[in-house]
Amino acid sequence: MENLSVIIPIHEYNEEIEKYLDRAIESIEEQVDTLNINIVIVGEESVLNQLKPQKNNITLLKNSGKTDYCSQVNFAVKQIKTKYFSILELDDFYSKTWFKNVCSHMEHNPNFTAFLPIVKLVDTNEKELGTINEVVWARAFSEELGVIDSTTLENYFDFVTTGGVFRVDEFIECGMLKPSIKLSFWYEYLLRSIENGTKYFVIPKIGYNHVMGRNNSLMESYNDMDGEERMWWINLAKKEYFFKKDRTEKSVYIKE
Amino acid sequence: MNEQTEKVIKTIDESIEKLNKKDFTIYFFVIDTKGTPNGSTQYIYETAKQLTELDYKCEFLHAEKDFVGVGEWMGEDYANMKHNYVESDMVQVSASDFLIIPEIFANVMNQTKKLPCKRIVICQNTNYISEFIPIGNSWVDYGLGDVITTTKAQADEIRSLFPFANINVIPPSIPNFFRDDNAPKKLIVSIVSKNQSDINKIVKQFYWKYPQYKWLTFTDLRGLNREVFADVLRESAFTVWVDDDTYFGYTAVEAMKSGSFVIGKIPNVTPEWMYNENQTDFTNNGIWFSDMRDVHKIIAQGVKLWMEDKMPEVVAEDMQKTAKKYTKESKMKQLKEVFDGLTSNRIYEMEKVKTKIINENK
Repeated sequence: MENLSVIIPIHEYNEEIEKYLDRAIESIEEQVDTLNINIVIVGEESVLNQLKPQKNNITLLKNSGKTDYCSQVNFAVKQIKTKYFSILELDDFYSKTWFKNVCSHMEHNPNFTAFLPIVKLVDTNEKELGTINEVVWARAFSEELGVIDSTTLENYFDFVTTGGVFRVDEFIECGMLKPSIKLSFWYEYLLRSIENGTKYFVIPKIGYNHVMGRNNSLMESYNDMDGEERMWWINLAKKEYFFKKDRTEKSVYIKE
Repeated sequence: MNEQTEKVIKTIDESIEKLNKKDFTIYFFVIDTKGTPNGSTQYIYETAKQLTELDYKCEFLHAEKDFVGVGEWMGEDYANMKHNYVESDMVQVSASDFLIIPEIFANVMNQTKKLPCKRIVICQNTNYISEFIPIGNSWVDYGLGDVITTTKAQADEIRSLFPFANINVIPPSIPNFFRDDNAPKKLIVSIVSKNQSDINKIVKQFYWKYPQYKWLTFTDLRGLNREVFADVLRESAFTVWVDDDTYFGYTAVEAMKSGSFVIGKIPNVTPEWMYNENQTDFTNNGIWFSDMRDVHKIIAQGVKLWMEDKMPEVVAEDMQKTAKKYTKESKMKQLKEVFDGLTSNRIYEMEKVKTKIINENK
């Protein structure tokens, strides 16, 4: 796959993150049968300046705007020149055959425009904790095995999109991620992009390894949310996906 | 030489001429599967169709008034071949014709022993040989000595029962619509077993033992027509195959040819394709088990390896090696050899009878 950028958003830098980042980049370089993937690390200039000198195939993209996760992703996607992109969280890593599998599915399933992996959840020692995204391979769950559609999303909110391969033009055309939404911003994007014609397929292979429990990770920051607040964000996504633009500066949950 | 003898000689000469010109019919006696797929019947129909491609004329005989046939699961090409109901259709069997009788029809072997044609037993499962034959009788009592079977193991077994038998081994071919199109497989586990109880044991117990895989989709392939069956195998990552009584194991080889990893219970008689060339050890063309209690663990491990792209490459390689042994081309070659040989033998038999008659009437 030559027409792909892997975007790694970064918000801080320290020894621990350096270790994770090395592992993440290594997982791109280890890809089987895959050449010339552009690696784009996006973050504030002050953070990027702390990074050790990087290899030629890595672009450091300085973002002087908002640096929340969604804004970082949106900023990077608008800058890249490739047809496809994939988001890699700095503490996660791809499986060696992921992009090979994506290429194969792109060739044989041309009707689909976005491909998600089955994600293996691991702890900080890479011990397996479970998997996610596999639910669409249950006949009772999905009308068409492997496909995420609006019916699928009615009852299931937890698809992991990091590691997935998206088309740059579709992502931009659809309005990208909405920074005002916490927690359910990818869910909202899935709903909105499906409405706009993106066809999602979950490749039944472990393609991405998501590290759970790292301090200061994005997901960790949501740990304080109770079930009620989580559902509030989900329901907000269900209301907002009809709108292409992010309608507010910031959505706020007020506990009743 | 009297008039009657001359007439007999003339008939023999006509038969020899028909045999030389391939102007005769090979009749296959068939059971009515009533629309249910069956490997043995499939072999017979495939054989008949392949013989027609070799310019032999083939027809089927059956004893069912309301014959359903194989149209639903094998397709119209096979269903439209000429079928004769023995009770009412006028079938004129002559000395140059051949009648192929499956091993299970001991009664047909007996009833047809006075027919002038050459009769041959087609034996695909030696378990059935003794099923309906009366105690004390043997194929020789029905005038039968020529046998076609599908595996060497069965040939050996038949030879041990009937040392007089002239046995031809013609392994089956797997049709070309069983193919691997190299498209990525779906995470589907197809199951092929004759018994619903096996399927229950596999699926229900798997979900109990491995709740983390409760999303895994199993597909029961029973009753599908062959081309749909082939389509499902082609897209399935795994095929679980249980058939204790089989001698050949069509489904397993069909799955291999389709690129679907086979998780199979070793049958009571191990099919020869499970072994290496020297027949000394298993090949790696599947994942085999002998105790049904092990199947769930094997499925779980197999699925995990497959999802991580860690299935040993040798398995896929050996699957393809096995599948390549059972091509239509190789079967056609063997069919030609065997039936050309049977025809020559028949001519030789007739020449011998003719010579004997002439000598007796000198």
